[in-house]
Amino acid sequence: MTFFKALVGLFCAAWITKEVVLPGGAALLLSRPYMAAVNACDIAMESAWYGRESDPAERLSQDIHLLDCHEYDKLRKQMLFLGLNESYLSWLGLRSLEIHQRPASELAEQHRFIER
Amino acid sequence: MIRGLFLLIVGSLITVASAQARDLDSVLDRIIEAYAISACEKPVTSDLASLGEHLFSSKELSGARDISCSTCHIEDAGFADGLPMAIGVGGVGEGLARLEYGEGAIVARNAFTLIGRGHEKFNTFFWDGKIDVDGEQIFSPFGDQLADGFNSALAVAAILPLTERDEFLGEIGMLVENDLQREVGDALYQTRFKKLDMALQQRLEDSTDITAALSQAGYQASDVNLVLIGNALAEFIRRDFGCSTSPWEEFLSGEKTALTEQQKEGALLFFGKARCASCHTPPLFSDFRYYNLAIPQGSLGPHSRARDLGRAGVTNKAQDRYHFRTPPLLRVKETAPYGHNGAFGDLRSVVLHHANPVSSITNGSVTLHAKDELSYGKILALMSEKLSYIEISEESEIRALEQFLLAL
Repeated sequence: MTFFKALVGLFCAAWITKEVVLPGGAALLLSRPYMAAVNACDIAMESAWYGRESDPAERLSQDIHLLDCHEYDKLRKQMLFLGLNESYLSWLGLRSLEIHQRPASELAEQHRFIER
Repeated sequence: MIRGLFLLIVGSLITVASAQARDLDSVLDRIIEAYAISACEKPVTSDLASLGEHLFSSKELSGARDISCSTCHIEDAGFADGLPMAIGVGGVGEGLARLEYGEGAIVARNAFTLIGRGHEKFNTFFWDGKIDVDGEQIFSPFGDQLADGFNSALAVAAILPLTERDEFLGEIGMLVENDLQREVGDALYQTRFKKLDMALQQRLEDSTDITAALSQAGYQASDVNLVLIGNALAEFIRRDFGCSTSPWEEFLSGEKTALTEQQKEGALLFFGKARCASCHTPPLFSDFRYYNLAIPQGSLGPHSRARDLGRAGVTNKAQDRYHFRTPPLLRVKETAPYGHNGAFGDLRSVVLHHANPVSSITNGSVTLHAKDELSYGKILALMSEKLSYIEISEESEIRALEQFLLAL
């Protein structure tokens, strides 16, 4: 009976950890770093797009800069692994645009119909 | 049970928090691999270096015996002189004392440090690259009058100041003349080399100090000439300034704690986001190419109307106007002030200027001289495209970059 109680207790603890503590902790501690990572990757991708590809030195700097996107990707995977879902991360992505004070036109752009 | 649950929660939160920590060392390892950077290997040098060391401090090489190489390359100022612009012949003392003395010819460019000049990859000399090498061919203002026998571009660069009137020879005047000046007269670079070579040979053959040093190195007094002087100075520079010692070098040697976390963050920015390394390329932190950073001209310059045309002074090409060679950054913290005319007093202001030259003027870290008031727009218009790729968006990034620069 004691063994059964311990087993149930352990199961409950594991369930609480997986379903509540880890996702809650991840949301609490990693949301802001995630939003910063979204922003950093956005800057890296944009500047790689505009940078001169034909200049090997510039290209190498772009490659190093794009490591920011690898960090973003890693953090995203870790957050998914910790139990946060895609919708929450997408919402953080949108929030990251807000906290970095993008103009209203830019925030609205993705909601505009391109074709109907 | 409750204690166990509490420990579980704390443990889980620590695990979660560690997920965001970026492993800076492993990212830096990738960067080092991408740039193929390795710890500097000290060059092997000959006994000629001792002769070079002697010549480096000898005032016998200057027209009025009032200046030596060591006057403007002093250890306390990172082997530069600590002044915005060098003070050549006629000056007294070293560093700031030279400025306070108030006399002496102003050499209208910032004196560079010797650190790193002896590295095998250092092959373009002076702010405008007036001495350069392409394969085996050394290019210099002496043209085809340059004697054979110089073993490197560094050796030619080492003797160039000896031929300059404001740096070593002595300025042309009504009363003050010395044997070297008399011989060289108003000769232009091409003929100046041969004339100075002969005059120096005569002078140094009679100098007991120099002949003793020559004999110690296995040479006779009659062997002395500009080629030997250049090669000896170059060998000394290779021996003492081939490699630098710094936290960055220690880091490259495998000492991961040599850099602080902030310096590592700065390194990431330097090589990536801020694009510094696309011009300040390791190992010497220069690509030895030419860029216009839109540094105001100031009141003095080596070209007509007190301007400094930079690389265009060598090539005469319109697109090279106001372009200067990327300065290497080894031990840069010791070599203030910065810029070809020493316009920046500290590292922070020069970093900020890269990001925004206009604000560095409006916030007063660089002053516009009267002559810049109506001509600065031209310099801004010719600013190098590479600067448009710099991505710096936060004050913390400037601080991290500054910290990394302190480690070089």
